[in-house]
Amino acid sequence: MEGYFKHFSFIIVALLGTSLLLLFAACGSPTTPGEGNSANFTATPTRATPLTLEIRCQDSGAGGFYVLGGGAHGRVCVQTAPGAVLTITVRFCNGAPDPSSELKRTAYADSKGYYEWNWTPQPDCKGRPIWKGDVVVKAQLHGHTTSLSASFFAD
Amino acid sequence: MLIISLIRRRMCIATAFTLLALTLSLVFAPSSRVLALAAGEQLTQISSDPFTNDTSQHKTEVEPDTFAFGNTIVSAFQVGRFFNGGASDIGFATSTDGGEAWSRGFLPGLTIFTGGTYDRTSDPSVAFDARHNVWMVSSLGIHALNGSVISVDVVVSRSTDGGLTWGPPVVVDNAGTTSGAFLDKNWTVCDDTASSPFYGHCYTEFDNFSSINLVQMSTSTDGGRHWLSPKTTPDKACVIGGQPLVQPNGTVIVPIDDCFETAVLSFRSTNGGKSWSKVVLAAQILSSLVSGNLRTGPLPSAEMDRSGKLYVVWQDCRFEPGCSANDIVMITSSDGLHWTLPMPIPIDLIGSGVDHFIPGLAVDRTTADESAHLGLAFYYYPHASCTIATCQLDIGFVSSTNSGNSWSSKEQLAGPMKVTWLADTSQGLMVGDYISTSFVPGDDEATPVFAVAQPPTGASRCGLLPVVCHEAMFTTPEDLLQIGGGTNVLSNGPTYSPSQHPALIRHSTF
Repeated sequence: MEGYFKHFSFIIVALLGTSLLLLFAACGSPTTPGEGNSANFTATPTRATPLTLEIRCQDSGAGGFYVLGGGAHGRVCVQTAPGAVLTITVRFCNGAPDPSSELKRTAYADSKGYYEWNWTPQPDCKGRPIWKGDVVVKAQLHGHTTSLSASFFAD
Repeated sequence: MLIISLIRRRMCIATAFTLLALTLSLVFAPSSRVLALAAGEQLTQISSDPFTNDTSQHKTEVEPDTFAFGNTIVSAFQVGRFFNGGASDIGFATSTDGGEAWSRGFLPGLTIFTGGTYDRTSDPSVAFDARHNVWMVSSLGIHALNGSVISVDVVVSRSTDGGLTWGPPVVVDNAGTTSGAFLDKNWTVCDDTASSPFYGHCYTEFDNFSSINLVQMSTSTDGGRHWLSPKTTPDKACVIGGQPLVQPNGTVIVPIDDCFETAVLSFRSTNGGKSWSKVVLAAQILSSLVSGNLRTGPLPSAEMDRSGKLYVVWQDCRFEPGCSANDIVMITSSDGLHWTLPMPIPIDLIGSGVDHFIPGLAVDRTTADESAHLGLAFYYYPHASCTIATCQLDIGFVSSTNSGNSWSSKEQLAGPMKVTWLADTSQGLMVGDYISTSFVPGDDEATPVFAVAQPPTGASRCGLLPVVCHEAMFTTPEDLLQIGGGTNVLSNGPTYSPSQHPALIRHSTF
């Protein structure tokens, strides 16, 4: 395995070295106003732009619907357009929607289009532990509406 | 815009220097990486995730079970972990020489990634049927639709060549496929005592989420080719995470958590699985929430010695001041009906602030009574009060040669790891809901199998592609974990009184 690591490290070092050269070259002169791809920083959607929505937490590389601490903490995160109006419905165990007040308020995505709900679940699991969860998030902005669902299974 | 431009330039330079630092660290990393994996000796990696589907996290391997018979050790584990349940396949690693060399592979015909029909799989459990000379790995067969799990079966993969190659899965219970049920936490064991009236019976325990976590026991008498319709207990117990064991006389005893993981229960069969008893209470569970969003629970790890004495361990905080951290506690029983009181295994001093969790217990089945050999691998945080950013995850090991009356000092097997290097799941960052340790019977060394993670490639934390995680199955090299036992005993007596600090004990809230 040591040989594997050495070989792997050599490749990574070579790639990073190349990246360094490119980066230093790119950093050589400041970008003047009006240059570059500043348009990429304007995320406000227009009527021609479909409203994007992703259920993903900023600190996660894989998902955006958590039930942690044995069911003590629910967390749903979304990435959408800045200012989008957000509503959420969470159901556990095929039961009724979670009535928690945190989930009933109308929410708004922040200036980066991000929002997350954190709450203490009130699951309708017929007196047993949470074994399944489903969430539906709806986003609205400038007349556009989109919704997205996610789920988990407590294997 | 000028300000933004300057900021961007500074960030660019900062990124370049970060990359430079990373490059230099990698140049000098290999030797320290090896030292970081084990105290003075390199661990043995026994598998690596080869899958590339973009729906799960790679390279990730989690949640191993092991079983040993003769000189053969078989381990099985999840490979390619999905965020919201299950994995791309079950991997296996088999040693036929007591843990010196390992063959590896991935169960065929189980998921769509290996020519099977299930979309995902999970919860591997290893067993050996000595009468029929068949190794088995039971697992969940998971159906998913549009990224959501919609039903779950229990299946068994069989090997008739000593765990080197495996056949397609055999259905234990296909209530998922036929009626949309969600089955969970399967565990398989076989009666391997030639003198037992039920020699060659194999038993798979699981629960049915869709039916109030109803306990289910299915029996096979033909080497796992066919499985009888599952039976439940007369009290229709609500359970999770059982680990059935078979005594030399054929009595099957199933230590298992209640479905809220607030008590260890036990039930049994004395007629080869024709019927099952009501559950009895073995012990209450008092577990502390583990920091760093780590996915853990107080599931039992259970083993049996030659005489049929059961040993059950789990993570429990009752002995710690304010229930602020978990010890690994143990109970024993000779009949599954009467259990000793929980006692902490003296890994660290009570009140040390070290948090211990996810234990994998081994008992040498050729030893018994007051000289039973025990080995215990577990994860731990040196400081229970930590955050995702600061938690240091280690793996430790202790052993006993006198039935758990005294123990060796803790050996650090691996770590420290950052929890952000672990596969992310909807229930937390994951090494597994369980790990496992086994003894080659009569051998004086233990073989634990556990997940070890290293920094991901492409991001600071493990995630979906293009991030490549580096979480894989490892064990200790042959001869490393000699079962020497030790003289450590509990120096502080039990301090828990239910009336003292119930508010600090985290129970399920539903």
